[in-house]
Amino acid sequence: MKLDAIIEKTNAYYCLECGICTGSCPISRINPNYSPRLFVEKSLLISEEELIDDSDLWTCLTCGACSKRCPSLVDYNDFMRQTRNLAIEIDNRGICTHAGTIQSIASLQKKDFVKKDLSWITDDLKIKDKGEVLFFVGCSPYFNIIFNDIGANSLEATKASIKILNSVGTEPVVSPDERCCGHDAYWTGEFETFSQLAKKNLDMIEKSGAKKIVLSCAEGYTTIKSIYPKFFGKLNFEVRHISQFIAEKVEEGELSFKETDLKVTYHDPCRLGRFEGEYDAPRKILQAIPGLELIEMPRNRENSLCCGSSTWINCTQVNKKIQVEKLKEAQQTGASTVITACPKCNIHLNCTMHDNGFHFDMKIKDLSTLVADAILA
Amino acid sequence: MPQYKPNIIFYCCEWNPYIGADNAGAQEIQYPANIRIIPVNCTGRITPKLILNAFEFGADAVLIGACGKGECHYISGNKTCEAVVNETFELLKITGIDPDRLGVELFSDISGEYFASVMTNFNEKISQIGPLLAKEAA
Repeated sequence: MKLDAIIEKTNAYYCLECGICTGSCPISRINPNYSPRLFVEKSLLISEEELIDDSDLWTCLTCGACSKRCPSLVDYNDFMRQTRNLAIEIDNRGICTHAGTIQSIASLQKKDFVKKDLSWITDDLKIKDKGEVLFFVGCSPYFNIIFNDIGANSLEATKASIKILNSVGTEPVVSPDERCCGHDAYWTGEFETFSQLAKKNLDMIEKSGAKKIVLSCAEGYTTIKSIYPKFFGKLNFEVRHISQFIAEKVEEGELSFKETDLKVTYHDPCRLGRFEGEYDAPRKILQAIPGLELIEMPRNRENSLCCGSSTWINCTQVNKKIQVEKLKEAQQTGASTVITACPKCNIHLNCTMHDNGFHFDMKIKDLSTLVADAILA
Repeated sequence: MPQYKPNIIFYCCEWNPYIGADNAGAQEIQYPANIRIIPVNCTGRITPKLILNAFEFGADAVLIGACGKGECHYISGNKTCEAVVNETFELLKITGIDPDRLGVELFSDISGEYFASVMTNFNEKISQIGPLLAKEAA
C-alpha cells in the first residue's frame, strides 16, 4: 500500500493525538470541521481509498505551522503533499482559483512555450546574457497582468530587486528560457509537472554557467534550494533570497540608506520563515534603514500567521477570514506599511484590502521595493 | 504536399454568433471545416484558462465569437469577455505565443454570409501565420 509508505516516511505513525497541530492550524480556528490531527488519525484508521477521496485534503495551506510545533516530528506538510499525489490519480483535485489560469501557464511552460518577453526590463535595469549571478524572475510578469486589478504590482518588486543588484555592481543574467519553478505543482500533487519544469530549469541554469542564483520570491527560493536537490541531486550553485543578499551587502557596508520616518511591521512568509528558517535577514535590513521603526506583530517569526492562501487552490470564506485576521493584527501595531518578502503574500493581502469594504489604512509593500526606494544614490 | 490546414478552436456564443452558424448551415454556405465550433452559453463564461488550454492541446489559433455591443443576452457578458481577452493577449505575449492567434469577433449581423466570411478570413489569416510550435520554437 502506498499510503503505508507515506505514513512511515512522514512519521505520521508517531502521532500522539495531542492536538497541538489543530490548535496551531489557522484553518481549524475558523472552520472547526477541518483538523490536521483528525486527518492524521484517519489515515491510520480508514482505508486508503476513503482517505484519498476526502476533499479536506485540499483545505491544508501547507503553511507549516503544525509541523513546526509537533512534538513527534510528524511532517504534516509532506504527508499532505504525498497523499495529494495519490488523490489526483483518482481525480480528486483542489478547486483552482482564478479559473485555473496560473496552472495552465505552468503546463504551457512544460511544453516549451517559454519565449518570455523581457520587455518589462526597462533601460535603467542592466542585465547580461552570461555571468556569475543569475536572477530568477519567477511568475511575477504573469501575476502583474492577472492581478493588475487589485493593484498588487508584482513586477515592481522584481524590478526593484534587479535595481538593488545593479547598485552593488552586479549585473545579473535574466534568462528568457526560464520556467515556472514548479512550486505549486509540487504542493498540489502534480509531481510529473513539477519534475519536468525542474529539469528544464536546472538545464537552463547549467547552460547559463551561473554560480549564484538570486530570487525575490520566497517560494521559488525554497523550491530551488531545498526541493530540487531532494530529487535531482546536489546543486552546483548557491541559492540566495534577495533579503539574504541585501543583508550581506549591508553587513559588508556596500549599501547605505536614506533616512525615513516610516513605521512598518514585517510579515514572515511561511516559505522563507518556517520552511527555510530565515527570520533574521529581513529584520537586519529593516533595522539598517535609519529612522525606520519596525514594530513586530504579536505573532511573528515561526508563529507568524499565514497570508491565508497558497498554491492557487481552494480560496474560500475561511481563507478570507484568515487574511482579515492577519491584517487586523498588522493594523493594531500602528504601522503604516506591512512589509513582506513573498509576491503571493503581497497579492493575497492586497486582495483582501481591495475588496470586502474593510478599512485598513495600510500599504502592503515588498521588502525589495522598500530597499530600492531607500538606497542612497 | 497537401495544403496546410490550421487547427482553430472557435468559442462561439450560443446567441448571435451561433444563430449565424445555423443560418450558414441552412443556406448551405461553405466555410472552412478545420474550425471546430465549441458553443458556450455566453462569452462571459470564457476564462484565460480555456484559451491557454486550447493552445496547450494543439490549437493553432483561438477565435471567440461574442454578441455585438449592447446586444448581450445577459446584459454584460461580452464586456466580461473583453476584459478576459485583453488580459489573455498580455499573457500570450509573455508566453511566447503570437497574440494574433487569438481573435475576437463581435456578431451584430446574424446572417449566414457574414458568419462564413468571418470564418474564411480568420482561417486565411492563421494559414499565413503558420503552425504554432514550428514557428514559435524556432
